[in-house]
Amino acid sequence: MATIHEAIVEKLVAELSDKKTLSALKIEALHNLLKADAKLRPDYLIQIFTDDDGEVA
Amino acid sequence: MIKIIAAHIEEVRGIRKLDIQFDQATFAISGPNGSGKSGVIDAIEFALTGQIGRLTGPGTKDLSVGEHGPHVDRAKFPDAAFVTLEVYFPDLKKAATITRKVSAPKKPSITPKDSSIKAAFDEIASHPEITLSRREILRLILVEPTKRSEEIQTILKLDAVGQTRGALNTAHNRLQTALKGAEGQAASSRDTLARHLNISEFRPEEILASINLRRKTLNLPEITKLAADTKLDQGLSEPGKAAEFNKQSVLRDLTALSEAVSDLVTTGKSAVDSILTGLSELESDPSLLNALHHRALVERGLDLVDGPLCPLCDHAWPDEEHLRAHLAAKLAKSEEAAKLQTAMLAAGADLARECGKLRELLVAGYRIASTQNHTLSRSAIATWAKDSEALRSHLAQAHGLVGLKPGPPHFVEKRALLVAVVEAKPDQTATLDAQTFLSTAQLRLDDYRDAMRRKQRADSASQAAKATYDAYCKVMEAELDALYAEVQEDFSTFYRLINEGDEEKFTAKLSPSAGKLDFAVNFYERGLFPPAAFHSEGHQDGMGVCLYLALMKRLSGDAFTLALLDDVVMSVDSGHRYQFCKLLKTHFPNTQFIITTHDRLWAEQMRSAGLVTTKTSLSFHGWTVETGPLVESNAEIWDDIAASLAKNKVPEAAGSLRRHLEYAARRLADNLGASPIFKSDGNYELGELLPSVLVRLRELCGKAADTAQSWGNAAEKDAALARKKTLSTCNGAVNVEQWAVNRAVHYNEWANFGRKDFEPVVAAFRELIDCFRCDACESWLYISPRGTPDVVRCSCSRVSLNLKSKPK
Repeated sequence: MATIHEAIVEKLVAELSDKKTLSALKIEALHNLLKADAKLRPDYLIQIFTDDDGEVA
Repeated sequence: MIKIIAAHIEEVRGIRKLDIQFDQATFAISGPNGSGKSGVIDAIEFALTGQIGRLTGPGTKDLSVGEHGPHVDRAKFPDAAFVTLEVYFPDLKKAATITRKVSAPKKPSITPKDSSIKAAFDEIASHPEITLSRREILRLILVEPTKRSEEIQTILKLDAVGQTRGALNTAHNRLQTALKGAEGQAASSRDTLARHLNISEFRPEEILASINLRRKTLNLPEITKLAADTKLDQGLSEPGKAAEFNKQSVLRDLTALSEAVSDLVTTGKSAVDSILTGLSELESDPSLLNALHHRALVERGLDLVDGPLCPLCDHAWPDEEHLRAHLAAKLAKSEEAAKLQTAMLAAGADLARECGKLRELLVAGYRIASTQNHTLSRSAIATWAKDSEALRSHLAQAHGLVGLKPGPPHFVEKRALLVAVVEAKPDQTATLDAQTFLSTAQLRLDDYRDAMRRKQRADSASQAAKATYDAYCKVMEAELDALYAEVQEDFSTFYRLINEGDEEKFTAKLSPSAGKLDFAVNFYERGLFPPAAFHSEGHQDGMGVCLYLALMKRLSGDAFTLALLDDVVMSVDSGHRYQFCKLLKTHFPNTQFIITTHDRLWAEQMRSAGLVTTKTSLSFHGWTVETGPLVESNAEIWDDIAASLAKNKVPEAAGSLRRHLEYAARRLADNLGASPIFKSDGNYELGELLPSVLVRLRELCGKAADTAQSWGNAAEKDAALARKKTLSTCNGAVNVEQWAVNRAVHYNEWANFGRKDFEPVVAAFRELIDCFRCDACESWLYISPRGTPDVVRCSCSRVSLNLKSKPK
C-alpha cells in the first residue's frame, strides 16, 4: 500500500503534468527525486528548477 | 505484512527463557502487574524492529536497549539476550525465522536468505507503531494539539510529507531571493545604459532617438527598430575600439556615483536599522549569539545522523533516537535565535540588493579611473568595491552580519579628484564623441541583455518552484483532509461500537491547522469537547485504542496484520469489553492482536467472547528475578512433571505440581466463589485455598443434583452426583482432606519423596484437578452469574450444571 507521501507525490506529478506548469523533463526529474528514499535537500530541487532544459517553465 | 507463529525469548528484559506458540492467532497474556507481560511485548517489538519503545522517548534519557534490554542478571552479557520469532508473511505466502541479539540489534539473523523476506522484515522494522501501550494512548488523547499532531504524523508516517513541503518551501524562498538579486542586477544594468544614453525614460523610441543622433553624425544609417539582436554600433569601421572613453558619459557616471555616495546614509536605512537592532540584541545576550553560532552546526549535524554515533563529536549515544532527541532539543532551545536570524537575513537580503546597485557604479568608476590612470581613485574604488562585494556575500549568512565595516576613508575627496581629471580633458570631436558613444552603448546594451537573460532564467526557476510548492500544498491539504476525515469517521464508528447502547450518536472531529491537530468529541449530544473534558478515564482509554485502530487501518490497510496492545484497555469497564472484542473480530478479522492485561476477568472475557481460546492465551501468576514470569497452568504441565520424574528430579516435579496447584486453587476459588477464611492481605496458602475450593464444588454439585431432581431430570442429577462423588473419593481429594491432620501427606514434604512415592501423588492430583475442568474445551469451571449463581459451566457449555430449581 502506498504511503501518504507517495500518494501525494503521484497526485502532484499528475497536477503538474495536467496544468503543464513545468516542462516534462523537470516533472520527470522532480518525480524521481521525490520518490527516492534519501533525505530531500532544497539544493537538489533548486538544481531541477534552474536547469535550462530548453523549455520555458 | 506479518503474523507471528512462535516466539523464543531468552534473557530479555524480565524474561529468562520462554517459548510461546502464537499460531498466527490473536493471543492474550494476562497476569498481575510486574509478572512479565510487557517483557513479552518488548521482546517481540525488539525482534521485529531492533527497538524497545519503553526504553525510548521522554524520561528515558539514561536507558538503552544495549544496557537495559538484557535480563538484569545478564546486563553484562548482551550476547546471551536474544529473541527468535517464527513468522509468516501472508502476502508472500512464506514463513521465516528472525533472531535478533541485544548485542547486535541492527544485524538480525534471518532464514531463509530470501530478498523478498529480507525486504518484508525491513518494512516491519520501520513500523514501531505496531506496539500500542498506555503511554502512546495518552500521547494521542491527553496532549496539546501540537504534540498530538506530531504523534499522529509519526504513526501515519507523515514525516516525509512535512520534509518535502519544507524542502520545497526553502527552495522556493531561495529562488525568490535569487530572482530579486537578478532583478536588481538587471535594473542596475538598465540604469547604466540609460545614464549613458542620457534618456529620461527607458523606452525603445528614446533609446533609438539617442543612438540615431550619433549615427547621423557618423553618416550611418538610422536604426528604425530595436530588436533582440540589434547592434547599436553596426557600421562603425572598428566597433568597440574607441569604447574606453566617452567624456560626457564618463562625467554622468561619476555624477551618479557621487549621488549614490551622498545617498548612502539613507539608502537601505531600514534594512541597516533592522540589522543593527539584531546585532545589539546579540551583543547584549551572549547566550543568544552562542545559540546562533551553534544552530547551523546542529542543523547540519541532525541532517547527518545515521546511527548512535554523533556526527559532530563522535560521542556514542545509547541509540539513534536518543541522539536525535538531544539535537532536536538543542535546536528548540535556539528558537529565539532562529527568529532573530530570519529577520536579520531578510534585512541583509534587502541591503545586498543596494550593494549590487552601488557595485555597478563602482565598476564604471573603476574603468574610468583605470583608463585615466588615476591611481588614487582607482585604488579607493577597488577597495570599496571589494568590501562591498564581501559585504554582499556576508549579508547572505548569519555569522557574516556580525562585524560589518563602513566604506573606505576619504572616498569622496578621491572621487572629486578623478572628476577634475576627467573635466580637464579636452572636449572630444563630434565624430569621436559619436563613435565612443555608440561603442559604449553597445557594450552596455550587451550587459543589459545578459542581465535580462539571467533575470528571465531566475524568474522561470522561481515560478517553477512556486508552482510546484503551491501544487504540493494543494494536493497535500486535500489528501490530509481526506485522510483525517476518514480517520475521524472510522474512529467514531469504532467508538460507537464499543459503547453500543450508551453513546450511539457519538461523533468526533479532527481539525488540522498549521502544525496542530485539534481533537474534539461529542458528549451525549451536548456538543463537542476535548476528550478529557467530560469523558471518564475508561472512555478515554477506549478512545485511544479506537483512534489508534483508525490510524493503523488508514496507514496499513490490508497490511495491518499485527498489533501488540500492551495493557491498553485496562480501564474499559466490563460492560464494554465484549463489544471491544467484537470490534476486533469484525473490523480486523485478518489482524493478529497480541494483548496483555493485568485483569484476569478481562482475559476470561476475551475467551468467552471467542477472541482467544485456551490455546491462544497464557497467564502469568507471578515473577521472580531468578525465574522470570511464572506461567500458569498449561496443557503441558503434566508432561513437564512426568519428564522431571523420568530424570528422577523429584524436587523439580514437586515444585511444578505445587505451583500448578497454587495457581489452579487461586483461580478456582475465584471462578467458583469459594469461601476460604478471609485474609486482608490476600496471601492465601495452598492449604487454605484448595480445601475450600473442593468443598465449594461439592456443595455446587449437590445443589445441581437437587435442582435436577426438581426438574425431574435424572441424567443431570446422576452426572452432578457422580462429579460430587469423585470429588469426595478420589485420592487427590483424600490427600487434601488429610493435610490438616497428617503432616506426612502434607505438600511441604513432597520434595523429600522418592520417585516411586511421588508418582501416585501426581496421579491423584491430576485426577482431582480434572474434576474442575471440561474434558472437551479444557477450560476451568465457573459459576454464572457471580454472587447468586444460576449455573456452573465451562467455556463451551458442555458442562452446564443448572442451579435454578423448578418453582414450586
